[in-house]
Amino acid sequence: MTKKLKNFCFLAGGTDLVVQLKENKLPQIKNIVDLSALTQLRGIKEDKKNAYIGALTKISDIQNSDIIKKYFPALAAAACCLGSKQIRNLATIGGNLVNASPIGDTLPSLFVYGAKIVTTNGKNKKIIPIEKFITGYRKTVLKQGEIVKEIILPKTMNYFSFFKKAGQRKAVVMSKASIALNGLKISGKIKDIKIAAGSVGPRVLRAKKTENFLRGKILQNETIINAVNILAREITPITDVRSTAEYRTHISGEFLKEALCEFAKH
Amino acid sequence: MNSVGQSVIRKDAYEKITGKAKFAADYNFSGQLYGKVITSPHAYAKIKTIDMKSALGTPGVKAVLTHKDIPGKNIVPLVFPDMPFLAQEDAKFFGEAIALIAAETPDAANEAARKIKIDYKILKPVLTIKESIKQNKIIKDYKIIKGDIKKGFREADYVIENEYHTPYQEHAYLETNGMVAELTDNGTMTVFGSMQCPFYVHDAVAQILGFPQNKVQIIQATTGGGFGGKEDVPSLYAGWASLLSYHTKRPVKLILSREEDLIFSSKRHPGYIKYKTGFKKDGTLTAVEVDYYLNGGAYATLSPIVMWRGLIHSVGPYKCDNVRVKAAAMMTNLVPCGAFRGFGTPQVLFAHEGQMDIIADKLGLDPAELRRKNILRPGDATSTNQLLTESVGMESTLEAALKESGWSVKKEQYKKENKENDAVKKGIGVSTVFYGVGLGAGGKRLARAGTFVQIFKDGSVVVSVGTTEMGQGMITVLSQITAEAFGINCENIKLSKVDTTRVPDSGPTVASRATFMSGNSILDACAKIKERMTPVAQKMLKTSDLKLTWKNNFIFTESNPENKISFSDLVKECWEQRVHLTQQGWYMPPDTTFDPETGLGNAYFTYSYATNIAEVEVNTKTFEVKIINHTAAHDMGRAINPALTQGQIQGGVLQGIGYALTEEILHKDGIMLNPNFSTYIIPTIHDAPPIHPIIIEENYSHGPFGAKGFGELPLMGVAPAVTNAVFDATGVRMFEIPITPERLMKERQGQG
Amino acid sequence: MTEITIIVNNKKHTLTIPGSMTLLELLREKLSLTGTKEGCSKGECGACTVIVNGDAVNSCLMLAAQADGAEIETIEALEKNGRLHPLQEAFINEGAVQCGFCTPGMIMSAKALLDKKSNPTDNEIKTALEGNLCRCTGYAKIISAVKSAAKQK
Repeated sequence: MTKKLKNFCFLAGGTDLVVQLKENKLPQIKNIVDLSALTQLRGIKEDKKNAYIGALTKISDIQNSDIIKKYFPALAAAACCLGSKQIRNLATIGGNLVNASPIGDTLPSLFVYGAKIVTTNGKNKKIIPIEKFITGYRKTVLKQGEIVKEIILPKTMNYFSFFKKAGQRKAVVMSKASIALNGLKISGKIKDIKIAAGSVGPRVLRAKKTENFLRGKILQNETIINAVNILAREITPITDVRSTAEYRTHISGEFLKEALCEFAKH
Repeated sequence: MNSVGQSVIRKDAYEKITGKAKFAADYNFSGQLYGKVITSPHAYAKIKTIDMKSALGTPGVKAVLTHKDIPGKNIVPLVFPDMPFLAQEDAKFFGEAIALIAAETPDAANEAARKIKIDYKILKPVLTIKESIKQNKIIKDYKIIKGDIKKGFREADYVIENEYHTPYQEHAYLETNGMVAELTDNGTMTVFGSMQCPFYVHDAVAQILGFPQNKVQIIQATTGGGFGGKEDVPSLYAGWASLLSYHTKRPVKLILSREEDLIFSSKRHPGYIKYKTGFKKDGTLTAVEVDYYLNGGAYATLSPIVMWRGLIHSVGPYKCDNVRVKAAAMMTNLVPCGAFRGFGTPQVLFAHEGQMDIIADKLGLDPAELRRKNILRPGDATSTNQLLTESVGMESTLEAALKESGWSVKKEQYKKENKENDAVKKGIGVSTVFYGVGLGAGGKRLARAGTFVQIFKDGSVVVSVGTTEMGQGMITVLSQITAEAFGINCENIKLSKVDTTRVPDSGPTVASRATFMSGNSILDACAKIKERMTPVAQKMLKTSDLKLTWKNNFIFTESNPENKISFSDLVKECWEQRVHLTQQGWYMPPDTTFDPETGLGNAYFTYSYATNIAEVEVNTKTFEVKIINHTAAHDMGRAINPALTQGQIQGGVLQGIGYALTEEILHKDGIMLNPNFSTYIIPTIHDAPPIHPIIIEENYSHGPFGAKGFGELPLMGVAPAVTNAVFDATGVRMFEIPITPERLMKERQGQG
Repeated sequence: MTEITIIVNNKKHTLTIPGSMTLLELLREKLSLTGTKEGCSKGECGACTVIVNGDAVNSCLMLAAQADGAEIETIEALEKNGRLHPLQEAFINEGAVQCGFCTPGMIMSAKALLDKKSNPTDNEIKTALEGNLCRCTGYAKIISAVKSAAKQK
């Protein structure tokens, strides 16, 4: 259908897109293709290895999903603090992903769970790791006519996971900084760890240097302090209307510290 | 009492909970056009040319207007004649109106707005108070000189001097400003809209159109919050809508978007205060010297009187014989600031309450004890040498708040808890404030109120006043006052819509004056009607007793309450006998004085008082401040409706918490960076702590049933109480609000 | 232009509307249901909250076309045959109304909650109403009103 259309965009939940359309920030868009009729894209399924989240799954569905709460608690936590109740009832995980904003609340958790993004143009299907899917500030690899079909999250066993977000008030806020972490210890040593930081750079950052430093380590105070220092060098926060670069660095470090302390006790 | 002192149900609740209440945007007229304003994108720029051709050619566009199309005078009538409805040679702030569009649809108006081409020459703006002081750009200044300031400092054992900074605050009423104007077939320009002060709007519409004032009619629509933000700026918006209607000969609806409202409606003035206090070892104040500056923005608007009120209140509710205050409103190339709950006092009281806390700390005194030593009591004089004789509830609010909050116990308890807890530090802080009721000597010529009371033959009563309901509960309170006067039920009273052609100019609905002023003028009208009804009642009761009791819907004599007639029977009889059952009421308050040479005089006829006690929890890792409890004790003379009074306290306190913790407006090169509710942060339901309101009633003899006024006070003392609590918790003294985690972190690092 | 069929307050409407029209615009302008308020048109204040298929949503963030086939409830539907909804009664009795502009949205958010959960905790009430800003009341009496309505149901 979209082949004949020009200057169009796809509409998922619309909580960002509708505002942009109304404010004439997308003057090139002449047609909107509402995806909501594709009901098969809404819902969460699982098999032994993975969970499959349809791109049109509402944030409120994710928040309340037993599968997500059980296997991906950091994603459930992120979903809980996205926007307001009313927004979560409209907004979709696919929309949050394709927006590719560094402050997208669900993205750090998707990063640390190693999300794989299934895209389609109606004929061909591609599976792309999230880090390759998001290419820059509000940029993805999606081409005109392509949509995200679903998000595959590999299940992990015995992992510890964490998500925390700082905002200007207690709820209904855009993030100043957020940290997601997912890791596994074996006999006290970190075997596997993924850390992602939101709102501290042009895109959500996988803190690979910090991860590399931590891998193989036993979590002691000094290790944690060193990890926080490495993270501080790895992120590139700015000062804007929501916070300062200094505070963002500080709070990202505090969240990492909190995550690692809890991980140590896990 | 029948009605006064009862928490009767709001008179306007039904319409509001069913969605039937009509706010400005809910009015639709057949053939209506949609108005849109084009504003300057620069802080300061000369307007070289305006090319309207392609905007005018946009389908559906009916008018594109500039200042050249104004048939009347291009000046908004207010304190000083300096602000134009539409910019002429230059635009002096980001968001200043330059042109207007009317179109068949909002989309067409928006499209035309994008097509207007304005050529600017950018000029160098003045963007801070300090720069404005340097360039001596004073809008207006006043002073107080009392006693001998040098002597006061000589007598002091200690002198402390600090600088304080307070931010902009946006009213953030949930309903944006909006107007619908229609040039009616009898040649009258009728405007419906959201507003606090219909008579300001009336003057403005007559002025922009060059109409005689009797060809203008302003009707207040249900107004979705004001807080001062709909005092003066609705004049502009009504002016624009009526100008568009005048030229197109069609009704024009002009509703601001949230972004527009945030960018160019008025705000609370940012404040910069240098405060020097001299005091003795026992805590007695000997000298107060203040330099108080407000960032007025690009035009004077209300700044002179906002600053004047700040001046009068700059010492706080304390005794001090030697005072020197200089206050000035400064001009900058930023949005003109205006009225906001507290009106120039929250800035300066943030400073004096900071000083009090610092003094207490320095002397090792309990902050409450220091206040006990210095607060105003009956027989004391204010900083302007006004002798306070009655209804001085400062001490009662202080003692009540200390008791209710468990001040002493908590102070010890938190100290102990803090020793054992590194992650979270708790603290408790107090502030004491006072507030002159009404316009005071600064606004004396407006200090009047009129009423029209009409009793229908079925015994129901309609009351028209010139002050307005904006959510605060005035309609209900004035209904109660009327009901009390006639001894009938509140349900029998109806307040009519405020229509400037039907009610006398009662001055603005500001300065916590509506209950007091309109209440008194209603009592005046009711007394006169009752005087005419009394002989009929006497005849019906077969008594010569002149003193009748009007109570529980009946009229009787104290000596024989069984012999009674109902109010409605009396009204019926009066109607039959052609007794005049309608009446104008008029009220002017006790006199006020102000000597501009010394700043001394009886600045306000009376004052209301409040004590706030905030309890906070500071997270030492995230630097987030959480209010865990807030106690607010208020003396408003008499709470006509205790439930509404509590509601005002709860709402005002939360607005004050926003001012203390999150609310500020950020600019870059004079361009506002956060004009929406995702970046201008007001408290949500999760941010609201338990708030404990306490009502103290120190009756005021001139007040209606003892009431003074108090709508503004709930916000005022909150920020310093919170700031002082943060100090108690962390030892970090904040001289600037809001106390964001960023600011607290920086300050903590700075103060070690 | 696109044709949609929606059920609003139990009444079916088939309408031809521009694709860019929001549900809020449709309710206020096409159906004259002005009880639903526009406070920011960006989903940041909640004044426009309505219930779509049982869930509270910001009608300013939803294109009317997205509501095709949906069932929508607005504040106008709550008073039935002259009887107020328990939430409306409670908002009056608890003094939860001041300026009234946030009230319709606030009540609709609360209704969506109570329809699903008859006995919510304080925190559930707060979460249900977190997207509804109120600048007048400090929220205390609003929470009491929702609790009292829950008890009556």
